Amino acid sequence: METAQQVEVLFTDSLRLRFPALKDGRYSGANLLELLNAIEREHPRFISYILDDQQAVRKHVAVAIDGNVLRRSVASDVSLKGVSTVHIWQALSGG
Amino acid sequence: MTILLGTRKGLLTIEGQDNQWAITDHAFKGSPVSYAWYDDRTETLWAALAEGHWGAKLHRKRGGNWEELTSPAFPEGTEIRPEKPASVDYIWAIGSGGNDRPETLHIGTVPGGLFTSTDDGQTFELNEALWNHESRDKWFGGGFDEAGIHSIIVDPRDSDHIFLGISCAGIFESTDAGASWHPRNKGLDASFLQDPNAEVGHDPHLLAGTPADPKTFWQQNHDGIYVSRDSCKTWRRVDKSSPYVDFGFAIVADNRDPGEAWVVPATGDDCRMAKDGALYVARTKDSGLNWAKQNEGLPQSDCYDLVYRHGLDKHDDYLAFATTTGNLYVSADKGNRWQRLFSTLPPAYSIQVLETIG
Repeated sequence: METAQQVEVLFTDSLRLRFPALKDGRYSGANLLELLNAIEREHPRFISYILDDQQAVRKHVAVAIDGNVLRRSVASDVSLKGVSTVHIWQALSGG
Repeated sequence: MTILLGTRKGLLTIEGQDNQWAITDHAFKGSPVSYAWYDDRTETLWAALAEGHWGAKLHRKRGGNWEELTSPAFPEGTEIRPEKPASVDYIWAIGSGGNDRPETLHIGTVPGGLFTSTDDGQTFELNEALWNHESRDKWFGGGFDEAGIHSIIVDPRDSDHIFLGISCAGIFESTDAGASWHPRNKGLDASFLQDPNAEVGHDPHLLAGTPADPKTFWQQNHDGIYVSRDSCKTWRRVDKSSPYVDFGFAIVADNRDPGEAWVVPATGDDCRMAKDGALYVARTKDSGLNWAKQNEGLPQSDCYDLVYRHGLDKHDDYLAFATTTGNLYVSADKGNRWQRLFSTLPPAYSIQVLETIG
């Protein structure tokens, strides 16, 4: 059983546009799913922006764990043990 | 009159009459609105957003402000096929669940899921009977990587009686509120299939009903235009006698005369722009025996417009269509004369013409 820990989470401006009250800060979770659920509790429907219906990180969403970008990962499989920073942003797009 | 326009850059509300029209609201600035619909049963505006990186989203406006709802989602473990997890990529249609069930609505998605809410959009449930239909392995994408549901029509006499248009699969009918589904594609051509007589795999670009006769349906199909007078049991092709029509996406039927319908023809399928560079609407008044061009007020050269499947609508004598190249045209006399309201809009995905909202 992993222990939840506090992680610094940084958000892209595009998410703050959709969730005006969203601020970079410390959230708690033993894995990525728990962390996102902690954010979801303060910002309803946030998690659906990051994860698809099968709880995997969306194709064009980037989640970096201490600088390492995840690729199509199921959020509950991503341990945050020893992690200090999670950065969430999105791919750049055309017009 | 009011026109709701779902565009690449948000939802536009356009109001006016005669020569006085204005954009009176712009919601979801910068976000693609894949489908917008005003539900007069509950005086509610619905908007589906294709938020790209962030997924498909559902919003509702009743009274003053928009609110985001929890979007339909496939249940955990659902797969399109082995090793291909299912997730809603795009909301392609939002439809009434029947006038006697104001809190019921249906949503069609890519990949091809039908989701139904019986609590005014608070929760949605995947229709498992359709998702697990025995023909599912014969469905494939038309315009998207996976098949999608773009047309949802409930029989005004019986809300358990539902028709769907699915690209690419065909027309499907349920007479038991979605507990079972049956393909209704008899008489359709499918030149793009290895077996042109296949029961499933058709590409109905749009299915259109009419309150004038609940048994009459029209479809602008990938191969041509078809009409059914027997609740989609059999289809009759009606475009071959005219040089003006064949390919296109949108179709609308008259609300008083079931034999009257309009399309916006395109050169297809490898070109997909206004036919011969001239923009026109084609109308039949005799169930497709004859088609007439309606081009008064429409440019007749250098047109690169395409009208997507949900880009044409009608309310009483008002017709309107919006194109991929930013033009919005309206006619107050069933298409006899047209006027261009705007020419610099974003590409349009859906249009609804209303008397008024609220």
